[in-house]
Amino acid sequence: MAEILLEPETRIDEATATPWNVVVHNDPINLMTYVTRVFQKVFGYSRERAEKHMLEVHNEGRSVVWSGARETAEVYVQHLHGHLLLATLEKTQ
Amino acid sequence: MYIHRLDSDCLVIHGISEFLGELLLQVTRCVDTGHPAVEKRMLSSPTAGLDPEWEADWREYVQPDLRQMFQTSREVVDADLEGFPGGPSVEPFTLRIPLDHLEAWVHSLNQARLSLAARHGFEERDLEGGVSFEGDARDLALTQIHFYGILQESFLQHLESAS
Repeated sequence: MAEILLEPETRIDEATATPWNVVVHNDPINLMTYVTRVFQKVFGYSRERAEKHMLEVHNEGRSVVWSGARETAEVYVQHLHGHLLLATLEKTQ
Repeated sequence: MYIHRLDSDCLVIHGISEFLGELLLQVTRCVDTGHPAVEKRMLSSPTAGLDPEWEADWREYVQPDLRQMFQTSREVVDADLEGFPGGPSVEPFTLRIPLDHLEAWVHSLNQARLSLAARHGFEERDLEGGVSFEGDARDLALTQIHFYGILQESFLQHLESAS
């Protein structure tokens, strides 16, 4: 069977097209009200949705706060770091 | 000490004792960006260490902007504290904070709390107990974290009501 060689650009496109998760991890120092406000501000979430994610972080140690294109996810992680939340980027399973 | 909205542009903290005044002056001074544990917390890993190549790019292209953002917030707070408590006046002191500086205050207070916690290695259980101030640096840091948390909560409420 002939090997199909992809151009480098094609490989990059496939990698960036894979959905990525923005994950926020628990930090005992950040106030719950502060974390809620950051979620509202960064993602434009309603108070209810922001609190749901905040409580998930608090009770379960982490919450997937957004999923989508890698470039957008990187921007969100940068914003969250700007607010001093512990945020990471993870490829969806 | 109590905090109230003076008018549409300004928040006032009344009844500040000499001790609390000193803690206010320490908000930006206690952010020890040169301490490795503080640096690690304030500029945390975006991939939990799983992607060294991307993290190198992050350090080069993103972290300088983050440092600048943190510094800018602290400069706003420093400007508000310039001259505080001012002159040979007696306690209690008063501090006025423009409402449009509250975001910078909230951010700087967060920097201070995270910096103190990282530097002294505080964990959740340390924060849950009361403060028994015996005069050492660790007790003082815990007092600062709690005091800054109270201010942060109050400022967040004022931001919420203003929006």
